[in-house]
This record gives sequence, structure tokens and C-alpha cells, in this order.
Amino acid sequence: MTANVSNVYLVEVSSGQLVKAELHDAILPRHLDHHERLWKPLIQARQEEHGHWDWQSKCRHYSAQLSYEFLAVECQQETQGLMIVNTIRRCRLPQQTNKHLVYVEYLEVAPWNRPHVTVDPKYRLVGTVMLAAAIQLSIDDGNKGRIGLHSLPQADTFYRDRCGMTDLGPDASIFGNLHYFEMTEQQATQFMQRS
Amino acid sequence: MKLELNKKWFEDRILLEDDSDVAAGIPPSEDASDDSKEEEMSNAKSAGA
Repeated sequence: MTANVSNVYLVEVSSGQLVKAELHDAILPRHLDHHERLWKPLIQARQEEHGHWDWQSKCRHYSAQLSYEFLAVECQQETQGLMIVNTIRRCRLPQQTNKHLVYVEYLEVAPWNRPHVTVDPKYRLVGTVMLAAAIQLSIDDGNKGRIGLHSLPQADTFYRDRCGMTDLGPDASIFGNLHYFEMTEQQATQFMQRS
Repeated sequence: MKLELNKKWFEDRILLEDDSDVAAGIPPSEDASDDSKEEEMSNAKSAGA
């Protein structure tokens, strides 16, 4: 399987410098292998409240459906983040109700990059790169950067305060009343604005 | 899909970063799309039948 690769940057926390990384528009076997061999032991050791997603079964489950896209961020030959998006969901915000958006079904960052797992994270910007990718997919599909997602509680502030998404509050139809967030065309433009 | 953002964009984003954790999606413990979860649900149904 081949994938388009985009050149991106992450912040190496130890040096404070930007380092080159790759965004793949596919989840390749080696990404799943990294999840199994490198991510899982750390997550299990941490005994996280929510455990971990089974990305192998997710890729099997969703790959037969054309509306799903798969993305992975790689740096220093290790997988730093994984994401699956659905490209045919509809908006909930009143000003864009029923317009299409890209919905982030699953987004997970490698445990060694997560401040809630380690006091000494390795790279930053992984989540930001994946959100930018979701916005780009939305733009490519003619949906003007509109995206939506259900945030895990520890990520609410990131989506609301760092990404400028609109918090529609807890969604009673979802287990755990996760907050639903949506990004408008204007918010996406602001997020992607080049310097 | 190609993401084309210049290095300055990433430099500027650093200033907006904090220690927030980033994740999205139905928690694994409740996610029925995992094979293992589907198997559990199927077993539970069989047990209840």
C-alpha cells in the first residue's frame, strides 16, 4: 500500500527545536505494528481509565467503507499519532446545520507524547498536525474546513482554547456525555492561516 | 491529501500549545466497533439466550 506523504514539523521537547516529521494519508502495517509493540505496553502499564483502542480491528472495520480516511504521523521511524475520520457526517451548529463536515471518529497520540501519561513528553504538536489534516481533508472535499468531533474530557481545553472550536456541550447520546465540538469555515481559516 | 504548511506556521503554533492531552472518539471501554468488544457483546447475547 502506498500513501501520500506530507512534510510537517513537531516540537522535540528535550531540545525545544522543530524536527521534521511525516503525515501519511493512510495507516500502514508498520504504524499498527508500532501501536502493538510500542504504545500498548506503556498504556497498559499506566492502566489508563479508558484503556486503548484496537487500531488493527478499527482499520479492518472501517477500511471497507469508502467514507473513511486514515492518517498517521511518523517521526524518527516511530508512529506519533493515529486518526480515522468520516467524510460524510453533517454539522450541528445552527449556522451550518446539515452541511457536510469531516468528523474525527478516533484520534490518539502516542503515550510518550501525552502529558497525562508521562511527565517528560517527547514531541508536541502531534494533535495539532492531525487536526490540520482533518481540516485539509474537509477543504479538499469541498466542505470548507468544517470538522466535528467528540472530545475525551482531558482534551476539551485543547479543542476549545487552543484550536478555537465551538463547544456544543455534553452529548447525552454518547457514553460519558462527551463534549461535542465543531469548527466552522471561519474558525478553520483562522486555524490554518499561514504566517 | 497533501498538507502544505510552512515552517513558520509550526513555529507560531508552538506558542499556542500547553499541556493539554489530545484525544477524540468514543472511549475504548464503550466502543462497539472493536472486534474484541463485538465478540464480548455477541457472547453476552449468547449467554442471555
